Amino acid sequence: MHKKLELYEKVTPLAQLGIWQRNLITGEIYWNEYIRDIYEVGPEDYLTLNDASESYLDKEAACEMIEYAISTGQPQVGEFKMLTVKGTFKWVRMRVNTTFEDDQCTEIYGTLEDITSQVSMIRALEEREEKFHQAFDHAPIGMAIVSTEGHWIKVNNSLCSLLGYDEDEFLKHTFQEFTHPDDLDIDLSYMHRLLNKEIPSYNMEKRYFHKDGHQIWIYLSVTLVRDTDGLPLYFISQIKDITERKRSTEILLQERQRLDNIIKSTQVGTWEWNVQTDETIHNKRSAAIFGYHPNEIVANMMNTWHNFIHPDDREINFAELEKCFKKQEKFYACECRMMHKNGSWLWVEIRGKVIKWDDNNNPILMLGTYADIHQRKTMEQERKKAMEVISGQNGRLLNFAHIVSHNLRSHTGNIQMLLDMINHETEEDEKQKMMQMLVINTSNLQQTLSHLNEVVDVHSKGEYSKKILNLHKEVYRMLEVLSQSLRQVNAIKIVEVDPDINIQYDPAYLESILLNLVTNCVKYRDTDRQLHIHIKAYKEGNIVVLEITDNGIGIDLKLHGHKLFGMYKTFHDNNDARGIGLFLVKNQVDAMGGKIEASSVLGQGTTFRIEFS
Amino acid sequence: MKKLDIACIIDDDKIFTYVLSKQMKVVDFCENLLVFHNGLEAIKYLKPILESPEVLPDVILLDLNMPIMDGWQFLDEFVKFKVNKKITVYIVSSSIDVADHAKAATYKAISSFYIKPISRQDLANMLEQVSLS
Repeated sequence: MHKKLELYEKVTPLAQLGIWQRNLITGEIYWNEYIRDIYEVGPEDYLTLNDASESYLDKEAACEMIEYAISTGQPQVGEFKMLTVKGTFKWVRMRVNTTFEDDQCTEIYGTLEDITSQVSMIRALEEREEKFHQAFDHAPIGMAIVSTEGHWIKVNNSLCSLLGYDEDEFLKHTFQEFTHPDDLDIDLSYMHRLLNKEIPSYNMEKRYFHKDGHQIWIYLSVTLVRDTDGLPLYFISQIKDITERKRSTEILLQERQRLDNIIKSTQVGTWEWNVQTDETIHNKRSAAIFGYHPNEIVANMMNTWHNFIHPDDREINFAELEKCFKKQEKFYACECRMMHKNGSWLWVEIRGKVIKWDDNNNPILMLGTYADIHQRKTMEQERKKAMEVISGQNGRLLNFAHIVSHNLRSHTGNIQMLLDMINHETEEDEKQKMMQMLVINTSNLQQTLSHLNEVVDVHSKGEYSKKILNLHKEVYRMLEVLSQSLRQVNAIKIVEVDPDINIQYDPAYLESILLNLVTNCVKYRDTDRQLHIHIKAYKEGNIVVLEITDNGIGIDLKLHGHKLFGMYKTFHDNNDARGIGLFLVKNQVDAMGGKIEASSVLGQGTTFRIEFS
Repeated sequence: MKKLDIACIIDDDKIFTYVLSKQMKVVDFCENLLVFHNGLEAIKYLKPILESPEVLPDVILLDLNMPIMDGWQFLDEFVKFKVNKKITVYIVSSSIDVADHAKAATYKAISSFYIKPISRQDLANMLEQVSLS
């Protein structure tokens, strides 16, 4: 017994347990020091039962408990809030027991513990829980507590209205039942990783089915609550409706896809250009237009691309750009040739627009496209060429019609006038004279008709009459034909014709052209000096050029240039001049699709330049 | 109708000038006739006598297509002359090219455009027009 008391005295301070005893018969009181600590009284002080009960804020409850123990003999325990004599609020737990002698309660005793810290902790916990519930219930996003198997344990209002179920309906289901089957596996695998402590939480986008069947896109954040031993208790899920965002994203994606398809189908190359740094972004097609793989264009600066532009087209291109930069034009558009990887020139249409300006109206960002217009452009040029040929032919036809009309009218007019005169003439001599004139006139008419026939023949010949002719050989053959007349005037001939030059030409025309031009050199030589005839041929790209130059008397081209190749146009007081040679030459050159030009200085000589196409 | 003092034909077609001069005689067109076979010949003749109106022609019948100096070139020189006499210029050409007729309309110096052949009636009309003016 003694030992037990000793142990008791040792343990009591550990628990800081107050021990008290009141003898109801003698009024004797025992308090250990911890009672005095709790009541905050001096080491020798005691409080009467009444004074002690005054310390309790709910005095009645405290007294009642003690009364009850006294009257029933059953031990009681209660927790009370007290105010000490020094004014400190405390929570205490009071235990009370009784001793009975002859059915009368003689003694009460018990313990008193200061539980202030425990109670305030519990209170704080309760408050926190309350706050959590408030937050949970009224959160603007969906929240749920879900069992580790997936059963809904608790759901808030937002979630109910999101999915269209009330709370009772929720609690009869699992989240698996509401989840779109395509999203379930991912969710479950996340869940297992969370349970296995592989991840602290997870977020995902997934679809739920609304009660009425339609899909809802949500953003899900899940954390796992574990007990103190680390065993999983439940999941807390936050569920945010992202259907609207998802829909606009999808629309955006579709839009983008559509745009991509359009760009792909139009076959245009696109580019983005930071005008200030010169950096560019080009799509694959841009590179492909010029025969490159995107990786091949290493320094992707606009300068690299501008260097592809044909030197002759750069000026116009930059002028167009400048107009756009100065806001004179809204768009920049330019058709130009650009260098393909294979070295050929490609017709490209470049278009662009500045979409960002700085505060000083300098361009920052420009967007644009390249379109391959080579085929269109080539066709356009061919059409233009064909058009030129056709309108040239039309012009020549009209010209020819006028020539025919004019020349026939001259002769027939004369015949008409002569006949009229003959009818009125009485003198026989005059009549005879006029008859003779009629004969001359008729033969002139005949000659004119044969000239016109020649011209018609020139134009009725086509491609089929062309043969491959060696220009060198033809020139020497012509000189051979004219050798006698050239020798007569002691002409000096200089021939610079590459023996390799071949042309596709009508042989008769080439002969006629060469004969006519060289004969003209002889006809219109300057008799005061020795005649020099210089015949030169060379290639200019695909075109063969022949030049025949003399040191003759020359032609005043200012005066006669426009009718140099006209029919019956003569420019010198030369009896040989018929005005038909150059006219025929011009027609023959035209008929073969070439060009003839003359340059001349009066008193120095003349050069005829022929382009054989 | 009063016959002209001096008429002038500029045309390279010798048959035409012969026949026309014959016709002129028939209709009693003029006292004196000058014939030139291209524009340059005519200019060369006229230039030294510009100061003497009495020997300048009253009427010039001008062909267009001629060698050396054609009708247009002649006109371009002729309009530069400062002459103290009314000289009526008629184009007499075989051309029915509208371009020629349009061009003729731009020359104030040209009174009319006659297309060959020329009839006696044409000459009579010319005579009437000149005497009226």
